[in-house]
Amino acid sequence: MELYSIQLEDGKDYYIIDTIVDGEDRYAVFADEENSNFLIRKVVFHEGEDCFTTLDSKDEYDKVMILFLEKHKREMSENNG
Amino acid sequence: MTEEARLNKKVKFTDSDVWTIFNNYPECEKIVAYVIKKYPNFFSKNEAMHIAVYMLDKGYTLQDILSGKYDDIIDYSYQAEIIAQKSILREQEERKYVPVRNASLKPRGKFSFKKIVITLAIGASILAVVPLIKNNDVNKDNDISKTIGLLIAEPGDEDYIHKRNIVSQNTTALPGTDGAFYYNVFGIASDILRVSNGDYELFDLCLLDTYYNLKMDKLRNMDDVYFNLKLQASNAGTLTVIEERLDRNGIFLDYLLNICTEHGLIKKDSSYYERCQVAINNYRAKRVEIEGEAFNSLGDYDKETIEDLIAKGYSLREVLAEKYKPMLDEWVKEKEQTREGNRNL
Repeated sequence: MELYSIQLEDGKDYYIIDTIVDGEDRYAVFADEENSNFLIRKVVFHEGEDCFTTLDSKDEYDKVMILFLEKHKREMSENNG
Repeated sequence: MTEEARLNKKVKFTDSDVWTIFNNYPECEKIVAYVIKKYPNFFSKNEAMHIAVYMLDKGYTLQDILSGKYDDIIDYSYQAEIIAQKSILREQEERKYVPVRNASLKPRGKFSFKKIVITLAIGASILAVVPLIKNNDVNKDNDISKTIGLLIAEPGDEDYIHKRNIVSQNTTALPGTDGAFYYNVFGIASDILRVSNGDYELFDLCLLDTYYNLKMDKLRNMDDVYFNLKLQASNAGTLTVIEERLDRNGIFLDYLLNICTEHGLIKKDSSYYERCQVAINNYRAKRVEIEGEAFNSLGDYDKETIEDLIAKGYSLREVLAEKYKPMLDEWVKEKEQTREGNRNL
């Protein structure tokens, strides 16, 4: 299986395992090779190109998590069931 | 209402709820200490309390929790908090940008996406980052979780309904009918006032229980109960206090008794009134989200009002139910003994 991989600002390589779109806002969920580190970044237009950058606030993080969970309700309910 | 706001309505435990529950359950303190000890200097007390309440509400016993049987819940929470910390720009940290064009397709070994979802979701939800998905996975198999819901008579739980509440004490099955009931609303109002006896938190609980346990035409019956309450309170010289109580609380019943009336729903449009009732009952049945034609047909203000007040109603009711359980049990027992005594005369 092939996934997009990128080196983020901490110098480590991550795979993009999911993307979340909320109107104009775009986000990506990253995991490292070992699935031991996860993080979320948003896509912003910076110096003439799209870039990944950290989220502004806890509120923004919460919003992305809500959308992520809504998108994957099925996986969650299977786990609960 | 935005999608985010709608999802937020799924909140089960707010910070305020958690503190209230924490203050009522000594077990919470032990679990909080256990959680904090497992990851020293990591979780705040508030976060540890969310984890504790989450586990108790799942039906896990104190003994099992402290034995480490459910440590995965704490681990999930830990991981979720780490993810949040890594994802948000920290104070005084310089913002960095990584061009999207740097990403390239690379082979990757097999991995469980579901596991990742669960890690993110469970941890985040426990820490109240994301209020989520409650109730349909609750396993009420210990005393605390049972007690949390003790006075919540589930639809269809006939045995329970007829043993516990004020309504059942004032209900008579009509002979020759197929399940029709007669409610002595004067008796209901009288018992509410007598049981609560000036304790207005308990008064709230009695009202909520009355609403939940009336079987048919709930809103109309509640109007009768409300009328009788006012009548009897007036006779007892406590009308102002009762009216203030009914008006002041932002509980479920306020919607039914006040907001509906204030907005002229009952008088102006009986169809609209009925749709409110259907929407509320649908919500009760699903206990997670409001769905259905009736709800969708309501105005935005009323949709939000129903959602807000129902959420508050559930939360308040559960906390109060725990607090007043012994008192209500005692009252039911006395009432049954009196009935038995009357039969023997």
